[in-house]
Amino acid sequence: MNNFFKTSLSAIMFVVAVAAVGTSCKKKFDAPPAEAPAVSMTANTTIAQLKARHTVSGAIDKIDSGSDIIIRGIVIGDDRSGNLYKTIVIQDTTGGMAVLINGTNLYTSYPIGREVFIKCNNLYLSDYSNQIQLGGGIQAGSAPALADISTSTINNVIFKGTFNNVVTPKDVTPAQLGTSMQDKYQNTLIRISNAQFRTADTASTYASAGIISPSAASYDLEYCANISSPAGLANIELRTSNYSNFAATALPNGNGTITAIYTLYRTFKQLTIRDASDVKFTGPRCGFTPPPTGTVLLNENFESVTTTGTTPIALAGWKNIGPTAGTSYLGKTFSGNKYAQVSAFNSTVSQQLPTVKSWLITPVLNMNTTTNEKLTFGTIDGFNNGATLKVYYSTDYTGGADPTTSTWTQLTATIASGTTTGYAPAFVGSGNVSLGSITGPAVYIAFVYEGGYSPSAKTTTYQIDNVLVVGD
Amino acid sequence: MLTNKSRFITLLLCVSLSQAGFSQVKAGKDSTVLPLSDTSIVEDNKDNLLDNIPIVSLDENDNQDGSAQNLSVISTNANRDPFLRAASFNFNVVRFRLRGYDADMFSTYMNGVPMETLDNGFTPFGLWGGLNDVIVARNRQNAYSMQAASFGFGSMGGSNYMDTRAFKQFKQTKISYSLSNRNFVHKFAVTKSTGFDKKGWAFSISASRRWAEEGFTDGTYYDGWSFYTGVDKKLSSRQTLSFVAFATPTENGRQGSSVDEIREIAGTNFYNPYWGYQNGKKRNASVAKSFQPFGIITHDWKISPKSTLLTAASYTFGNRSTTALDWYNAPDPRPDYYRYLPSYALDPNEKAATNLAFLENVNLRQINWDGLYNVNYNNVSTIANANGVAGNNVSGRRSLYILEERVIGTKRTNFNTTYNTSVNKHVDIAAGLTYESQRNNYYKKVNDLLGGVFYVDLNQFAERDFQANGTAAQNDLNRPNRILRVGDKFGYDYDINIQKTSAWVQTAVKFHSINFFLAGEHSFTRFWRHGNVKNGLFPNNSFGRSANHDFANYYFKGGITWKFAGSHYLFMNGSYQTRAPFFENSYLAPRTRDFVQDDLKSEKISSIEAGYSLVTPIVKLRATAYYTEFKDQVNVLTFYDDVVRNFVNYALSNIGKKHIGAEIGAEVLVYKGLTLNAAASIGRFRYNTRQNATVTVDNTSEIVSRDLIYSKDFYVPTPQEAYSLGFNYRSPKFWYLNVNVNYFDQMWLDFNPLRRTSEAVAGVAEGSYVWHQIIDQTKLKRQFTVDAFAGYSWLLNKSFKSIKTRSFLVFNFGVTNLLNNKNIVSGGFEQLRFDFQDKNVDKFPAKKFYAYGTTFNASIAYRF
Repeated sequence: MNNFFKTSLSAIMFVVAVAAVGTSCKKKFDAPPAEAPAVSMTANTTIAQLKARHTVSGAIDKIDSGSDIIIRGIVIGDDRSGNLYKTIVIQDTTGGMAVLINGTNLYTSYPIGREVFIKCNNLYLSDYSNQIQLGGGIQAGSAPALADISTSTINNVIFKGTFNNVVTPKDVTPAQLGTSMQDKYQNTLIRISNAQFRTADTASTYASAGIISPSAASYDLEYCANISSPAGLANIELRTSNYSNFAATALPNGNGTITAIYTLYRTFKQLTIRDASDVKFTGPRCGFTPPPTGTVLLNENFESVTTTGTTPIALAGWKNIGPTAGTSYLGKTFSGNKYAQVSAFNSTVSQQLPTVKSWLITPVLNMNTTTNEKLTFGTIDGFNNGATLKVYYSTDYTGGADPTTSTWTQLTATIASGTTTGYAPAFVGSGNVSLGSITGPAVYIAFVYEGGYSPSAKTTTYQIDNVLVVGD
Repeated sequence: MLTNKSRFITLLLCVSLSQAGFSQVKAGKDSTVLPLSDTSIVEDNKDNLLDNIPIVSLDENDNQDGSAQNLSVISTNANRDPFLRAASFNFNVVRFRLRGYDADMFSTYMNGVPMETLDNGFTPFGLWGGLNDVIVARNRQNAYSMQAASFGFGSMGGSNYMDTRAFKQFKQTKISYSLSNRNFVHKFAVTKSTGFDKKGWAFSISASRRWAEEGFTDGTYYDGWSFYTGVDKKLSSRQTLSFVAFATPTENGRQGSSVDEIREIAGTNFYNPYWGYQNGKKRNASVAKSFQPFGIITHDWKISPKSTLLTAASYTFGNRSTTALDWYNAPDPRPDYYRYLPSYALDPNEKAATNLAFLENVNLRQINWDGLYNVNYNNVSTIANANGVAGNNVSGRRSLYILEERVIGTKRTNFNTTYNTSVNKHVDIAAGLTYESQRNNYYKKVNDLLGGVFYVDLNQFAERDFQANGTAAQNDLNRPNRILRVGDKFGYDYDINIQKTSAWVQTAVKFHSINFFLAGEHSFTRFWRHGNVKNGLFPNNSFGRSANHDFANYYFKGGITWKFAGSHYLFMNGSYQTRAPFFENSYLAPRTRDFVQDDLKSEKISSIEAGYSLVTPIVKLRATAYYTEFKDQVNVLTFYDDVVRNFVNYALSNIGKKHIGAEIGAEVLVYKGLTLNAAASIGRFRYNTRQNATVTVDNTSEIVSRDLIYSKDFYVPTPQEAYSLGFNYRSPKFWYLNVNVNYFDQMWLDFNPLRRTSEAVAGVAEGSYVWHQIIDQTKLKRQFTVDAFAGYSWLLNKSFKSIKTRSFLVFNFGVTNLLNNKNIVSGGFEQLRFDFQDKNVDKFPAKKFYAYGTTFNASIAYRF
């Protein structure tokens, strides 16, 4: 046995030694170095000069030159979010260009901020309904179309430069954006301020994720020259692909800046965002009057009310007077915001009142110590079929259960209107309702709802929030 | 992409030419004493070759064969069958399968325990690869087809028994080296066996290393060690206790299959899409690793001169794994992805330019590792709520490409006992009991972040499809947004547990001119899934233990042999069995959930064979006809469909096959030492049912569709006809030469069920060219090969009288595919996708692999 172990030990030593000397197959790999940027390249042509080669919409122009035509640009749009597909957009100081590449996840090579050089000789220029594009060939078919640049040859065409170059978007107004194919803003990064979505759209999402046809959603933008002026259509659509990873994100309902790539579809102006973070609509909407400042006489946001949905509001100092509990002002909540709601509606026919007049009266206000008082509040109307909400004040009301015996004078305020189905998406500002001419130690302000089922149903629902009275 | 086992197995047969006719063998009473002449030189030659056959990974997902070489050894030691001898060796170049059967129709026993795995029924040959020195032909027995065996009930295709106990080995020391140009180039082996000493101990030890910096195919490499040790102790004159343990830690860079288009551009049929240059060095993305030690204890008890009881228990544990690229919202890194190839370009100029670029730039034809690293270097991003901790933001280089390692960890325990007794001179009875238990743990782990700092455990497909559902994209709801580093498990993690108990009994009756036997087996199989992660898409069906799936099965077989006129035999065997489905074919998508096929049931297999054989000193001949029917088989195919942009599972049921054919083998001694041999296998192996497909997508629990597959009369993809003709000359001077010409015909490509549906031919005129293009099965070209082997055994004592111990130097040389035919399609499959829109069959062409050109194996061994 001893002999056996000696022999086998030496045999094993031998095999290990021979085999180990033979070679070592353990594969070890160094991390390769980072690619050096294409520093030796220099542009000899601007993007505007290149674009000028394409003059006839729909034509496919081969870039055929005796010498190299090299443009340089910074990537301003990639496909990271999926909103662009097989396309990157680059720009230099003279203009921008969409570059069609036959590949996906292009951002892995050409992320936003990367400098690229493109050798354009033998590439093709065309346009998609006026949006100029650079491609790699002509796609055969019944109608010839511009083909993408092939990924197999791309490294001989597009040369990668440095990362993280910052392109500052150009601040423009919608009117400054032209609709000609050669417009200098086309395919460049622009920024529009005081923009917003239409109120009717603010309940929507950027696009319809999962829907294949049509594959994108478009929303008109509204715009106002300054925030206090009313909104008007900007004549620009925001177009977003259903394949983008923010397709299911809700459109913001505020107002603010939008940074986007400006594109054209025929003569329609379009914007393409890289990501939902390009839209910063967080401020108040057009037509917004900033809340008045000064001494606060009353500030009620209804956040302390009980919101069972059937409980009449009972706030200290306030009077809530309606024909029945259900037609009084009720505490309600939506998306975490609480407010007062009133309606004559009742689905049970026997309980439908012919007339409903409901009062919500503020606590007593002393208007002798301040001047130039202003009232602001917000309203939402829903299923509007003609019932009214009006605002009054009284100097002789004493806080009793029957306000009709006092003198009430109507105030002029903007009240939400026109929402015949569903509810207005956001509270409509009343505007600054001037109370400056009113004096007295005991002034009351009342919201008066009038509706009912006789002679015809007037059962509009109104919601009231953020009742504010300030004075100097 | 697909994971599919049984369709693509590489069932290669190898039959050792153990008794090739060296009649000068004079083994003494103790058969472990080194014989006067070396009888094993032919078997050595061929075993070496079969140990080094090409293994093509059919798809990067087929990690089932992590190490298993999927070759089925049917040893012909016992019956010297002239057909099997040819079929085993000469036919393996085209992946010939005996009677067209899948690998799960064959079983293998070692030292008393069944070796085939319970997950798919394959014998894991890789676990003892490189240990040919201790798995010698004379210690093998086999029962071909439905023959009775004394060592176990066996499988319908055939059963093989290998005895690797120490005392069974030649009492010798053997040192050998061989050189080849196949998977590995070098092999070095040392084996030492003692035989029993005076105290009743026997020892044997063997070690080898097989390696290649680069194998026959570009980008492949091989590094395998093999260790074996065996100890026996005679407890008494009648009882022996034995222990063997072996382990084969192996790592190899694999070869993948690909499409003709890129093969033509690359200018070689041996194009390998798995490798690419990294820093100027070839790196293979598909590296298989395997380490699964095996131990067997055997108790051999000769109860009486008429009865024996062999009892054995085994345990094995360890991992098999393969690496593959994984990517997250990044371009497909595989160079042969169809959208990158010239054929995908519509514009002829672009097509030409792409073609040129592929020709000129090896980094387009192969994986561009440097490019992948650079993408990761520059992708800095921030993960919100990382590791499920609100407000925990992790920033850094998030890898978009990684190398993942798909691991299968196995633990298996077997217990088996076999009793044999002769009741009288006419009746032998054998019986046995087996218990097998196996647990496989399937998971992925991060192998290399390729220049990035972390990866995230998210399902990018669910992330895209279920934007509104914040948790659907989580691979593990218990640990959301997990930041992954090298070595971390991710993706999926589940166990499959399988238990099988069986009992059998067999009666054999012998008379002078007639023998018959009857045997029956009853078995009980249970399997279940246990999920270790809670998948965001299937939170209620992915975590924890699934329902049990139980199957009770039986198997009957019997046969009769009539001997007449001295050396003529007529025989007939038949069998009927029910068999539990393998779990791999039962679960629709076990990676994410525990759903199984509808109406999961046992398959039914019936077979009958009849034949004639003649055994004389001059002529050996056997001719057999057989008929086999498979009913109610199931299978699951999985592939990535870029239309729905997700993994699609095709659960196939009602698979039926009919195998009918004949086998003929003959050997004729024409002159002293010169034998002519001929073999033919002529069969028709065809599907005989329309299969039902239940189609599901990994991202939803809905059933997408239920399709009827018009699969009737399609061919099982193995050569239906194979022929071999040759001669063998052995000189009295201890050398031999063996040359064979082989011919293969009626070979068919594996077919894609999607193309045999009414949806695939909707709108196509029946009988039109396109219609035929879509539904017809592709026939492969007929092929010729020529193989030659030669060897010489030099008894050194004769030449050098000073050498006292008997010593041999054995030289062997074998050449396969002598004519260097590089166009032999040895296998392939239609991609599991179809262009339903344009009915263009060339959009997803078949993937094929080719047999190597001329290869050789030269070895020298010193035995003393």
